[in-house]
Amino acid sequence: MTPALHAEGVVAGYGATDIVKGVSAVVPPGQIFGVIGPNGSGKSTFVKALAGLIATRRGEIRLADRSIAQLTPSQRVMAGIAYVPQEYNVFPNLTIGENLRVSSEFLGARRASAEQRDRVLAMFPEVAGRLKLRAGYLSGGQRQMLAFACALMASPTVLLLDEPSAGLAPKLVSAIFERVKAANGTGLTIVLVEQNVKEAFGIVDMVMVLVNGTVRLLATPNEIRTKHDLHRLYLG
Amino acid sequence: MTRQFVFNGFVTGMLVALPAVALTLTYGILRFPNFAIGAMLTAGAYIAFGFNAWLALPLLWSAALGAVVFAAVAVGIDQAVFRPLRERSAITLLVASMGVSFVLENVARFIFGNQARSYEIPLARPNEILGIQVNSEQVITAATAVSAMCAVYIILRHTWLGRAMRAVSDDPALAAVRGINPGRIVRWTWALTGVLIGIAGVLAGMDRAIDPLLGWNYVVTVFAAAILGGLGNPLGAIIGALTVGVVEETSTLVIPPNYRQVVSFMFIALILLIRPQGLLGMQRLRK
Repeated sequence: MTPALHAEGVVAGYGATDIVKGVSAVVPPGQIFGVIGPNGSGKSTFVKALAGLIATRRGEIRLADRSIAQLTPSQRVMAGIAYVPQEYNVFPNLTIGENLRVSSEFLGARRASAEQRDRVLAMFPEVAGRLKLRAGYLSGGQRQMLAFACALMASPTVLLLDEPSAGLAPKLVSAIFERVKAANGTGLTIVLVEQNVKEAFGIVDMVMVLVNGTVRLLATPNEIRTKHDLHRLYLG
Repeated sequence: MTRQFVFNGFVTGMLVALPAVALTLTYGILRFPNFAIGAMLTAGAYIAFGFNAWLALPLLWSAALGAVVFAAVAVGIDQAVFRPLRERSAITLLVASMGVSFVLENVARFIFGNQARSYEIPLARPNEILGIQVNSEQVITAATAVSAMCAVYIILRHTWLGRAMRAVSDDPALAAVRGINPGRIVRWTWALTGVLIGIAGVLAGMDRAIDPLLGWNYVVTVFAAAILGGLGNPLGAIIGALTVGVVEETSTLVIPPNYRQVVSFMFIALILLIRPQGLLGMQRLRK
């Protein structure tokens, strides 16, 4: 079966420094693929490279059969990738309704249908009833929900989530993870970068442990729980 | 007497509002103050003058064609000068805009000469309304500026382009991962500001003689208006322009007219000291 997303030997970074040093990952369709690791391990840089926000210096990224490594971020969205940044993930001076609208109206054939919009709004009642409110007035959790909803408006085939639970109250963390699971239930492939390992292990199918920009381990959550010591993996 | 000055100031404010909104739109998207705004205004006035005097087109048609041509010129300037410097600091872009100003001014001087020119428009006596002398140029200026402002409002609030411009202004990287092509939106922004500046150039050319330094008469006032309203905020720029226009004009009741731009300088200094974000600066939400 063709993977939904295939990264091969991806090298990316800032300035003269490589942060991600030859990371490879194969994500089958319909999976939730977790990326964990200590602070500074290159998790966020890796998904930014997948989204096109950071240039891929070496390596290849394929979305299904299509090479996307040389595409701009907006072209990757058109190809079927959606990305939710950890922070700065909504347009604060646009209303909630406008945030949702701009997330789909430039996508040509991928433009969300009325049914898709209704489905997304039904999934996120926190934002559905406040479409005229400026997004800058939302709390951190509500922003995260809106950002998630905006990403789904693009009808992606692969969704990249960068630490969606960062800085949120435990109750909200559970709510976010429920939505991730629900989105995955529709057949959506998800790459989930997380620090909250306990919650993440509850929903991911496969886990990639990144340390110092390289892959330390690729295993199922169960294998990691039973055969490995996460602290040791993190610290080498 | 005072009413007349307030009215004149209001009309001047409307004229200034067009380049002030243009300045604030480019600042909102590209994060640099375009110092070439004055020379661009001059260029817009000259292009319309070419259609009006050389091709003998009516001023209305000349202004419309001039605005469209100048929109293309503005996009061309961006692609040739500002685009290669996009990742540089605001200071670098500001200095580049000074260079653009210098080049535009001298191209105008080379083509049209140094002598003052004026549009082919019929002279008319002013009408008196409620004790205020109102001439036809003022009516045209007010009507054109209000129409242009309404058009800008509709574009910004109710069209895909306006939503995309505001999204890119908020966060260009996020806009890119939402499928918006920031480069395309930047080009549209220059086209829109080019139209506004082109129209303002014609209105300025009706208000004064057209010469290579025409735009310089407005630069300080335009910056004062945009800063007063809050750079990056189009509504603020309009309010700032009307305020600066009226205060500048009425100030000539107590100070010599030659010193009226001192008022604009004072506005800039005071606002930067007291409320650097401008009058409507707080309305813009930060991340």
